[in-house]
Amino acid sequence: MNSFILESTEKKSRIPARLDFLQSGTGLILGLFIWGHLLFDSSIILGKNAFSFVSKTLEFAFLSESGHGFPIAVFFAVAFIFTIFIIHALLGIRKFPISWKQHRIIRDQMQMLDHSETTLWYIQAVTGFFMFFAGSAHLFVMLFNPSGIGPYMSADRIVSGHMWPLYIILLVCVVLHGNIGLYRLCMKWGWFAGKDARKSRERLKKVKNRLIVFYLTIGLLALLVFVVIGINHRDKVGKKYRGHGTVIEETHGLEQTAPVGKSQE
Amino acid sequence: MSDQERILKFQIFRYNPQKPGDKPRMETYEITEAPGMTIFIALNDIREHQDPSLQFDFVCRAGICGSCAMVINGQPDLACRTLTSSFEKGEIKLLPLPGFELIGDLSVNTGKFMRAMSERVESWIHDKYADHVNFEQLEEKMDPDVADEIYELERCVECGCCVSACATKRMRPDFLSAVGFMRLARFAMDPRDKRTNEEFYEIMGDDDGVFGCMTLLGCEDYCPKDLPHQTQIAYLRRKMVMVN
Amino acid sequence: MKIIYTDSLVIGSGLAGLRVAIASMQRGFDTIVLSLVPAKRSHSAAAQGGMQASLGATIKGDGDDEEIHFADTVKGSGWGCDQDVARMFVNTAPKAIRQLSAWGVPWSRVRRGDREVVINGEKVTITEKDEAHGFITARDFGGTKKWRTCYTSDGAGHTMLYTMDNKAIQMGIPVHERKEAIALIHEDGVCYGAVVRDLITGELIAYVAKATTIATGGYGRLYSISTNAVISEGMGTAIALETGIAALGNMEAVQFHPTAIVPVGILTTEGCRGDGGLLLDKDGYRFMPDYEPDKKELASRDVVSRRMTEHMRKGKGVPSRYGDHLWLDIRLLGRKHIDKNLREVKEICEYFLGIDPSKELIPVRPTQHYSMGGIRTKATGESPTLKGLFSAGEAACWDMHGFNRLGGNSVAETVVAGMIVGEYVADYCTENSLNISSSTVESFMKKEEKNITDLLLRGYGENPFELKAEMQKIMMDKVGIFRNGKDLEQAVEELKVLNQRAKKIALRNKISSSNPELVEAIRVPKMIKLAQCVAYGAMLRTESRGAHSREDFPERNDKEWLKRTLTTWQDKDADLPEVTYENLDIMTMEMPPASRGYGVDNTLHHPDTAKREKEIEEIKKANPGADRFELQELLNPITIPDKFKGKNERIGKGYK
Ligand SMILES: Cc1cc2nc3c(=O)[nH]c(=O)nc-3n(C[C@H](O)[C@H](O)[C@H](O)COP(=O)(O)OP(=O)(O)OC[C@H]3O[C@@H](n4cnc5c(N)ncnc54)[C@H](O)[C@@H]3O)c2cc1C
Ligand code: HEM
Ligand code: HEM
Ligand code: SF4
Ligand code: F3S
Ligand code: FES
Repeated sequence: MNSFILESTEKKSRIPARLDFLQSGTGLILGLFIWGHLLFDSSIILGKNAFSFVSKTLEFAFLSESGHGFPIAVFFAVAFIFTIFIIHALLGIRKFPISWKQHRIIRDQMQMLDHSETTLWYIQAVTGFFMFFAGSAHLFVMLFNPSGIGPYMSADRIVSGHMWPLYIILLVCVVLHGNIGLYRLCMKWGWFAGKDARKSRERLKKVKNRLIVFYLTIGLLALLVFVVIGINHRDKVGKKYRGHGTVIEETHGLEQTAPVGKSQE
Repeated sequence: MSDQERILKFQIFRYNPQKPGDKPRMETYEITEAPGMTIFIALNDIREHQDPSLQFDFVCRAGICGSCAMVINGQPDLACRTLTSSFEKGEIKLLPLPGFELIGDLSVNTGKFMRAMSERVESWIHDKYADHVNFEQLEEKMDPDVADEIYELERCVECGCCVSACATKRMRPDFLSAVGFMRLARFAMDPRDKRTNEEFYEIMGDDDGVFGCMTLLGCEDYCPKDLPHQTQIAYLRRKMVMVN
Repeated sequence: MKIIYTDSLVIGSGLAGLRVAIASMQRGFDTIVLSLVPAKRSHSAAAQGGMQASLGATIKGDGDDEEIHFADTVKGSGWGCDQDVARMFVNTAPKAIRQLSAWGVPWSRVRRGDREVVINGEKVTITEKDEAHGFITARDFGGTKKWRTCYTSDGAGHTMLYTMDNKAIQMGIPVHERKEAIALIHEDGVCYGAVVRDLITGELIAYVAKATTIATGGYGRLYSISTNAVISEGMGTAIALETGIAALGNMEAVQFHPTAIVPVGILTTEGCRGDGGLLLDKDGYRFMPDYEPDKKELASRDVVSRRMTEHMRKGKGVPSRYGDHLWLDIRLLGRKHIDKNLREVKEICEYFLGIDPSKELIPVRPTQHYSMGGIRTKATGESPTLKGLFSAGEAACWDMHGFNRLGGNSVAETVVAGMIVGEYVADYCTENSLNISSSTVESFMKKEEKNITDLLLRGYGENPFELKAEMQKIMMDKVGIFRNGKDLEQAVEELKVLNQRAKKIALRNKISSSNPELVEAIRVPKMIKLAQCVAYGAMLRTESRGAHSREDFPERNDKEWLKRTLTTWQDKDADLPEVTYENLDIMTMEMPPASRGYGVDNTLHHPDTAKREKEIEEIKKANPGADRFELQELLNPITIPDKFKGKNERIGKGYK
């Protein structure tokens, strides 16, 4: 009848608690980051100017005299996100079905039990796995080419740099993984549970589904726009760029979203 | 109750580990449905009239003792309170609960598992004085709402559905799993249990405990007693992550 | 040969068994509990109503004490109970409930202020006292003067059993699950444990112990339709009977409940009728007013059960594949009322019948519910004839229920008997040592082994499932709610035949390890013997008392029948058990027999009754200053373990 365990055993390590917290924390940061990222990125749909404006703003161009911004800011941002990404990924790997046996078990389980929540988790694990490569590649590019962001440079990278397949994969993965992750984060910590946790869960699930559809739509549209720009710009790859795309074509922004086969320059 | 009779087709997992040379297989049995027939009635009918070796567990046959959980057409549930009429096609596939030691056919050793769970979470009131209570005196008061809340969490019948529905548990055999969390939440809520958060951390503060739960919510979705797993596990997690 | 030695062997892990085990463990004895199923699955978990104890915290229990609980219990028993035991029981029940509270049962508590309740079909507002807020509350139950049944929402038995098992786990008491005791080991009138079959491996193990306690619950499954668990087959009672030495008490006392659903026999609460539900026959006709113009559906439990049976015998039952039944109609109460006040019933209807009770009729019929009879014990829980054999709970005839137990008194009995008998078991372990020769153990093992081998080797013979079904049908049809000489004689004859046939059971599935057919083959002959005890006892008892009601002898006959039936089976080849009787001595009764207060009093009184009444008057007169404790001491001095002797405190009353 040992009522008081503390007397008889050593204290248990607090590390699992910290790691779990870190997993969620990094997931949360990444998830929110991606929400923003994809919104900014999709500004291309509104036109090259919109995209330039956004990217410049994010480089703090409004602070620099030349208006070129500080690509170094991008560098640090990427480095920061990359670090979070790596930490998150390493923590995530702990949860993977590492051995073949475990993988079999979870497949078996899913076959026996048609349970949506388990499937969601599986999707997260699989998309996480793909992002490990695809995300890293993307981040490397961004890390070593922090000033290469702009409507044309991005579009060229996507088309002439043959990055588009990677982006499609990455997009699908990140949209699924991130939104499912954020939903599951709410479940995991009991956020937004309100009075009736079961009703809130239904609601959050709906929000999650809508977000997935929304982000996939704008992401794919944005990619399409990039591709169109990139195809039109194919013969001029690398040209006309001074530092960062301070390209001078104002005004017509909104009307020119349509992929008309005419180059601006 | 409608009186139309139809033939039910049961596909049942068969394997007796006690019998040398026996191999896991599915066997099919056909019986005539009767009004109000539950899987309990059907299985007994099969045993009495077709195959006396068929093993399964029923005790209360009223949905209160938790003995009869099995996987019914892909869902872990209590067989005794499942009506055959709820299956439109009249085809019913029965598997033993995965994740437990198989005794034979549809019978699994949940009892052994649950006892170990109770020992692990120390499923009792921790109070040095509980054994020296003077029971001639008036009992200690308790807020009526608190008593009701504790009861809500104590309604678990140890059926094991939540354990079988948890892929985490299946991948990691040492994982405490939802039934254990529910028990911990029940005692954490009880003012009579004097355990501190630090003491609870010793029980569940690792990846075999609450930090190993990947929030798959199979427990929440398949608990036949509708216990609030999601909120309670989240509550324990928040509580445990704050321990320093 | 595998032998396991221990001090205290407890067969059965329901409330009673676990409590005995806890008591002997607390006193430092090595203890092992055996069970067919995991402890928490024992049938004690099914009790939903609650446990009686005179705490008197709720306003409707105000003024309650041991005296009133005692009077209710004795009256309810049809004066068939052992009043010493009833005394021990009522004095200890408050302690039992408070101890369980400290161990973790989340008893529902009194909430101060106004509350609306339904009493006699009418809405009434009651106001709970401020100072009672937070103490254990109680609800109303049939046959009690005060609200005395303590509960936890709708799961009293569940929370009690879980708490009890958790306590046992805390104390490290081993529960050997999926083990079935199939015979008792005894020598020279002393019991030394049991031969046990492992239900998984089929292995036979001898558990040898100083004290053996049987707490295996009731024998409801002798009947085809029972509210009991499917494992309530009376195996513990049967193996005691098979010793030929231990006696069973009052086996014919079997309680029926009017409204269990068909086919599965799950209980629907009396509240259905209490709130205005009706009983209809196959023509949709409301028949109860024809039989009981006054109380109609709300006549007492046994009366309604009897009337329903009568009506079905007239061919007015609704035929179904599972036999005839009647309808319970609660449609008229309306969905709102059902959703709110009869949630439990609604869920049972949804899960087990797939119907909506606010729109459809509920198929019901009277159903076996409780076994008052069992292993006869002294007040210490020990068999008077077989030393070292104890029994507690529904399996025992400790005899606080006599011929009818009150709702809520049964789980209370399990715990209280567990406490008291547990102390005596420990005393027995202190005073006695184990001296049994291993050859005796071996011979008992051999005998069981041979029985099993015979079963496995027999080429062809009787089918155990069929025998069981036939027995259950005989019991249901002929030894049911309503009994009469002709049917009972037939039943006794037919059971005799079954008993013979049961000696020739053969199996289709010939393996000795986990094998449900073999389990059945071992149990069925024993069950038939028990059925014979019930039927034979019922045939011989030519009066009506409590749940035992003879159409041909409708009166309670204290003159000739104020006695307890004792049944033994000394010659194992005999066709019938031996029945003897033990007189209940009115001259030592604290409460001499009187009318139960239902209907016309057609009791044939015993001459001693008046004598004793006068004597009591005189004792009271001679001791004008005596308080209730002193008076009880004078009228009914009892011995009770020291631990439980103290008085019980109540709010507003202290220890008075
Ligand atoms: C539906 C229903 C509702 C009820 N409601 C109430 C109520 O509200 N209030 C009330 O007071 N009473 C109620 N009762 C009655 C009460 O629940 C029982 O009488 C009581 O729980 C019996 O407890 P027990 O410990 O004697 O036996 P059980 O709890 O039945 O336990 C028997 C134990 O014996 C074991 N066992 C049996 N045979 C063997 C064997 N051969 N070898 C080894 N182990 C064996 C079993 O595994 C089990 O563990 C109700 C009963 C029913 C059926
Ligand atoms: C290498 C890439 C990644 C891998 C391998 C990975 C892996 C995982 C895994 C396995 C989980 C589940 C953890 C658990 O159930 O406990 C998870 C959770 C999560 N991931 Fe990722 N992930 C990656 C990248 C990302 C990215 C880019 C985002 C941002 C959108 C993200 C957001 C989240 C969120 C919000 C969670 C939920 C956090 C939690 O459950 O604690 N992940 N990740
Ligand atoms: C701070 C770090 C990051 C920066 C600066 C950045 C920058 C960019 C830029 C400029 C683009 C446009 C295409 C291009 O120029 O190649 C882009 C697209 C994209 N990025 Fe990132 N990114 C970062 C982090 C991430 C991360 C962590 C992920 C997910 C793992 C991610 C996923 C994507 C996807 C899916 C696209 C394509 C979107 C589309 O058009 O549909 N990015 N990113
Ligand atoms: S928590 Fe629910 S699913 Fe799990 S064992 Fe208890 S009752 Fe069964
Ligand atoms: S299903 Fe398993 S992973 Fe957690 S939420 Fe439930 S315990
Ligand atoms: S048999 Fe008890 S829950 Fe099904």
